[in-house]
Amino acid sequence: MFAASVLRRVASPNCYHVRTLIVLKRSHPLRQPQVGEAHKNLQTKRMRTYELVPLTEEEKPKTIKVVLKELVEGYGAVGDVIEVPRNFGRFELIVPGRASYASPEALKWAETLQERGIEVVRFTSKTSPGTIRYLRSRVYALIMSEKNPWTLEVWHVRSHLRSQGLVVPEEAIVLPDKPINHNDGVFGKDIIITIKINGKDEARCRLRFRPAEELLSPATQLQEVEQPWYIDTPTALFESQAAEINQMHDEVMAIFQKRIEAIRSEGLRSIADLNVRAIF
Amino acid sequence: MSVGMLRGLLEGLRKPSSGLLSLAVQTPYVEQVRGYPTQKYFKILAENRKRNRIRKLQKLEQPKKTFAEIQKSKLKRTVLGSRRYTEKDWPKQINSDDVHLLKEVVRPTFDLESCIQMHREVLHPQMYNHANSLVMATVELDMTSKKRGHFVDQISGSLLLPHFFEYKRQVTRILCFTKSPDEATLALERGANLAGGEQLVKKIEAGEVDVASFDTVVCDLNMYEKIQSLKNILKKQMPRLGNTDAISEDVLNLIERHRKAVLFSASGDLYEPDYAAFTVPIARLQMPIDHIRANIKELFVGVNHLGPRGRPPNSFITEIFLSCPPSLERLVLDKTPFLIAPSQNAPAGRARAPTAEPEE
Repeated sequence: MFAASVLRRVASPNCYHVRTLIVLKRSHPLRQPQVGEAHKNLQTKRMRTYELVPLTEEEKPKTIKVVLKELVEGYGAVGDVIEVPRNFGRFELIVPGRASYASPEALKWAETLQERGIEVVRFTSKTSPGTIRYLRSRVYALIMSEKNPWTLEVWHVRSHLRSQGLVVPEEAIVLPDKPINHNDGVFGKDIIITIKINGKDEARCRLRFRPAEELLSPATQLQEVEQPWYIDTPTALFESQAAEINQMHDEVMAIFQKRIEAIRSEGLRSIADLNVRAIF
Repeated sequence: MSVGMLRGLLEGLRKPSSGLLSLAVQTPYVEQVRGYPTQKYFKILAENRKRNRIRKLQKLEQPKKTFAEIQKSKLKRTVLGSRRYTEKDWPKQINSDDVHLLKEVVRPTFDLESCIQMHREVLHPQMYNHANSLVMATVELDMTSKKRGHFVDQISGSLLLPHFFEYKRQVTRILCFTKSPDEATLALERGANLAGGEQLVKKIEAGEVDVASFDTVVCDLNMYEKIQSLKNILKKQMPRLGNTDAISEDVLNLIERHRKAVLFSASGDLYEPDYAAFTVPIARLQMPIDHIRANIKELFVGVNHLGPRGRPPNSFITEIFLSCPPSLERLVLDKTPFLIAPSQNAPAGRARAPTAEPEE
């Protein structure tokens, strides 16, 4: 690279907010001539090539340290000091007010959280708040027999959840206190159970009892289903859970309508969009 | 006109003219002109020529896109995804909680016992109430042949499973060659669709019988030499010596076994010619596990030898899933205990399938 071309590449100093220094380096370094040796001809092409030495002082840092002011999923709890990519930290955390730069004042604020009586909610893992949110927006089917007698047990729930794509160990499932029998007029009604993620984080999960013999009979399978079963208005098995079930049903409906509007406006994007209409 | 001539003309015009005649008198200044490039530019031209020649050769070396690659590129434009169960479908971020969605983890493979146990739980009389449901095995195949860009078109065959179970099976059409007419009547009673001796051979030679409508051809050991004239008609259905499923001394027993056989066939996908899959019933849920294991082992042996020649052993079957209708769950089976040892890969007692060889 010729020196002239290097200088041409650098923008004029007027463009910078500060006058900058430009450092050049010979691409073919000169050797000091020994005694009696003739000087090198400095007018050759090799002697006029230079390289630009980048000034690292001016470079912007790639990551920044921030202090979280509230719980951010996947990043941390209140008062945590974390290092995040620059643009993400600025536009996703600091501008919306979820965090601030790790200034000495902010660090001092983070240290004195307990003295002010602010509760710090911590989850056992990064992914657990996501699963808690996901479970609120879904209904799982409990397909149970009408003919054979049963009382609801943990392994019933565990195997049904796994067959529908949710892996839960038996220790994590907490059923309602009242025992549920097949005689109680259960079918078509909802219950809510708690699932303890990593033995600590509590998630609420909605289940609906569905009759096996009726669903699997050829007569019902030939019927055309106009709308999926999970959209029907829920009725609670226990009256104490009725308010919470209605609240969770609204969340399901909001997601369903948003998804159908997306399909109407943009068309099918994947085969998964077809599964909006459930099979059972 | 060269550059030197132009320059001379311009210089002549630029000079202040003293009189009217001066333009007419002034002649353009002519430089020495070469008809060939200078030494400096000749080098550059030679370099360029050399570079172009290398690029041309590199283009020739690049292989053309095969049919399969073109079809796969078309698939990306459609809504449909790849049907193959691959690592690409698995998520990059892995959820390590004890409670997680199956989407969020690399899907595990299960051994046979835990697979069956899981299905038994879901289809329990207290739940789905289908305790004795069929166990269906879905087999994914890799249809690439040894030659690049060529694929196995389709495969078909029948499995003689060691442990019998009841289900509405597809009827196999059996052609039987027997030594005596008495035996032929017995064979028809046992379930053969057509049976006969030397007269049947003559009928087939004359073209009165359509051989293509039969799934399997069974032959008595004594009749083997008399069939040899049908070699060109039966082609790959021709029973061969050493194939215990096609030739034996006790034909009636063989027919009974073929009557209980399970048929399967698979053909390559339109968009992914190297992909094919089929599902076959393998067992009932309440059968003992040793029986189910023996049936699956037979499935591996029966399908693996249909693969194209020259491929490494055990590369034909890529994945096996177990499912039990009406439950929609599909579990990935750990296939390591069922893999076939290389010496056992091509058993002597089996004929090759009718359309196993790649189309050329």
